[in-house]
Amino acid sequence: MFSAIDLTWVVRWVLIASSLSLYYIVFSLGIVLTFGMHKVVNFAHGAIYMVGAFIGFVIYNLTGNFTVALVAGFVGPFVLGALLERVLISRLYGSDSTSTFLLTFALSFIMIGIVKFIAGAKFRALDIAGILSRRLDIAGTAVPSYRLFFISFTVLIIIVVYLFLTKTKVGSIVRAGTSDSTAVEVLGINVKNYFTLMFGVGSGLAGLTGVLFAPLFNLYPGMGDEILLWGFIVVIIGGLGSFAGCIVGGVIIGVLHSFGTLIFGEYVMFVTYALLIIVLSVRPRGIFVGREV
Amino acid sequence: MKVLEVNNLTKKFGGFTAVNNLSFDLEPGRITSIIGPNGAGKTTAIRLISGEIDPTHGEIVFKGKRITKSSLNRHALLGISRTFQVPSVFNELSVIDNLRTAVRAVGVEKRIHDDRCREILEEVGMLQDMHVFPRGLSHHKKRILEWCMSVIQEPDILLMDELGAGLADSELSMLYDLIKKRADTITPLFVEHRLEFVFRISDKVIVLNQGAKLAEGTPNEIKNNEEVRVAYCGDEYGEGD
Amino acid sequence: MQRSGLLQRIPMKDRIFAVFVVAVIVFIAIQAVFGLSVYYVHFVSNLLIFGIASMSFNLLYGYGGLLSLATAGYYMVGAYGGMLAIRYIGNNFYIGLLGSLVTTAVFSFIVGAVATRIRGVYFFLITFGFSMLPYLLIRGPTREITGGQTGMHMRVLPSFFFDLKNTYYYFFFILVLLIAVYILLRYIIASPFGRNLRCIKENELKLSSLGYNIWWNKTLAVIISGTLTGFAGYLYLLKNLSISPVLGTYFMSAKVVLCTLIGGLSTFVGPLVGALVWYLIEEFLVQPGFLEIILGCALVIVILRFPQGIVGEFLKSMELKKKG
Repeated sequence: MFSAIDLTWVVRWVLIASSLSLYYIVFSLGIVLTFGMHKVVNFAHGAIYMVGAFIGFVIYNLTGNFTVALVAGFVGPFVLGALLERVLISRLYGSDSTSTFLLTFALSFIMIGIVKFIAGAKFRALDIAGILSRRLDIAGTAVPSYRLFFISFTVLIIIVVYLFLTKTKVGSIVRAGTSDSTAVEVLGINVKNYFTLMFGVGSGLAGLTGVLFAPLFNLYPGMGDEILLWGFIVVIIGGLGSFAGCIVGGVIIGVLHSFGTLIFGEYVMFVTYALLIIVLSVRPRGIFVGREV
Repeated sequence: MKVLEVNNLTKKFGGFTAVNNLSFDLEPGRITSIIGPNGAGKTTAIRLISGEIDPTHGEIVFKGKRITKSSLNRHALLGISRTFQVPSVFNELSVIDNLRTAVRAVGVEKRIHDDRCREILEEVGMLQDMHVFPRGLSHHKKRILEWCMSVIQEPDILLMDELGAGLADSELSMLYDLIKKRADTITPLFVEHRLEFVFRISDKVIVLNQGAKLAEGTPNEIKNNEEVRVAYCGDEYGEGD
Repeated sequence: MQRSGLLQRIPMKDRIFAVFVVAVIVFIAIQAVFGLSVYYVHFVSNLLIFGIASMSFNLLYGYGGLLSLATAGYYMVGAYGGMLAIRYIGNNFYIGLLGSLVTTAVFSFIVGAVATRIRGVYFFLITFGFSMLPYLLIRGPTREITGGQTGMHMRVLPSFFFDLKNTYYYFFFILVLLIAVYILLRYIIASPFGRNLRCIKENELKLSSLGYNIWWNKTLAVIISGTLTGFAGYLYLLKNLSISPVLGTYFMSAKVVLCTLIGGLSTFVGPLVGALVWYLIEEFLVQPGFLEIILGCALVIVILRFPQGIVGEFLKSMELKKKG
């Protein structure tokens, strides 16, 4: 029924939309996790993503092993995020949310400065060798094997995070703490540590996304800015603090930025911002108000 | 004519019903109080009447007209004024500027702004505090200032949420005298915990429990109401707070 | 020797502003007398233009409690509005000014009208979103008229009562405007509207319960702040002669927030001091990344320890000394 051209087109665009959506979803999950109990709007998330990308870049060039680079890209930002939360950000719990937001903004500024200082403001590219740089032929279109890897790996990450939140003890404490922190505290559980942990995990996700992204585009100190913006939009559309909302939001924006370009052309960014403005005006709490995993 | 009618007023927050089918009315010149244990929905009722939030069901009729969409500032301009649990005055502004801000809002002629402000300050004995900032005022005086800010606008009804919290008996009595003096033009509605005070001054007492009206009547009727006693967990009527 | 009565009646924050102005004049005077590079006049002029934008920002943020990230948007609209008016209507300073102010006022009205309906945390996000729209518009769809990525260049400066090309004259002109804007802002904040704005920051619910339309008051504040920022954009245009969409990237919005917080958000002179700090550091520390690291750390320290910023904390300590 479908001509060969149609199927090719569909496969190609579905793959593009999927990888873009998943990219947004994994990144935004990190935002949701760092938002957590104390409602921290984490502006440093983009910078941590960038730091993760650079860590991955350095480690890959040192070891030639992408797996090690991925691990480093998670662990490094995990530690960084946990440290920042424990030492600095937690001091502002209880004060208004603008202060924490501005603090994370200041931290992102510092991180960008440090990376600029160490690596210079130039662009860098990560060249991936081996199995991940092949091109496969699927349904008549050339698909980079990296894209397939990217898609499967991000899906895996999402599943792992989901299982973590729903099936483990730690996960359920975190979910409970996100909806009602006092209840959890009353149970005698030291919420502080869980919070630091989640902030670390969220940051680790950002870094991991950065490493995954590194082979695709040039790296530069400001690379976290744009994705951070989309991440916020995804989370707001889906509802801050909602896992499911994150997925829905990520798919919406991912599809918009891929298929959307076919329909809207250069107006696609307009549409994105217009969507943000509309959602904030009409349903400021997001589509998934109150529903959390 | 009733200055305020509340009919079947209901407010749900998600699955939780804060106010359940509440109906009562206010008559000019008569002093009404709403009492009830914590969480009974008293403050929510005030928020509904003042226009801060929308009811889920039911209606509010003010001076014969249904007021539907909630709008705190529009209700205020219609003549519904309100004081808050914590005395809300602007620390940014001096006492007289606080009053000027209040009187300016209702479109009083500019020339007589200051006259009105001075008048009321003199009445409450705070004329000397004219240029003082609220930070330098006692809790009692802040409450008086807040009351002045409402009254200077000459509203038709004044909703007072726990006016007496933190006030000594004599201080509350002083405020009550001022309120009683104006009761014909500014109909008061008290939401209070201080039961002894409530029973002393009210013409009508409404008891809320878990969002619904438990009882309504004169202070004596309420005092002797068994259900009300049970709702207050069997406590003797003492000084609440 | 006793200080004169007049001097003592001037509030400390205005005295700091006066010192700032005098310092600027002295610096330029030295530069002129000793024949140093005219580069420094440009440097100071840019600082003052940015200073106007920062003070306008603080009307919303420090006094109104509204964190707006739309500064870059207003700035760019002001510059482009002026440029387009000059190119397509008439090469006249006043036409450009009108074009600049009108377009920015309309834009800020739209932003304000929508953004102020949102509660709390998201105000800044929605202003940011709005700020990107003119950027995208100019870079993309309106390329034909606005020159897209490459921007626009003014070939002939409009005539004015002095030669706009003269660096010194223009510097002095900007300085006078800075003083005028400062006085205007001080006047606005002391007016009934200004008091409303401060009350909104303190207790919006209470002001609303007195009968005030909060939405309109906030929107008006956005319009005033935005239009003044657009005015700064117009001054930038006349000084730099070429503009491009880079003006509208959010970097400028972030810069203004940073400078205001470090300098102090409780006064109008605070953002000026913060701007001075930024420009000095940028000038003397050329290694890549140093600017961000130092200012980022400064901001962290401000947030955690000195929330009133340089000027605010200074004024606070003066107050304490007076009492103690």
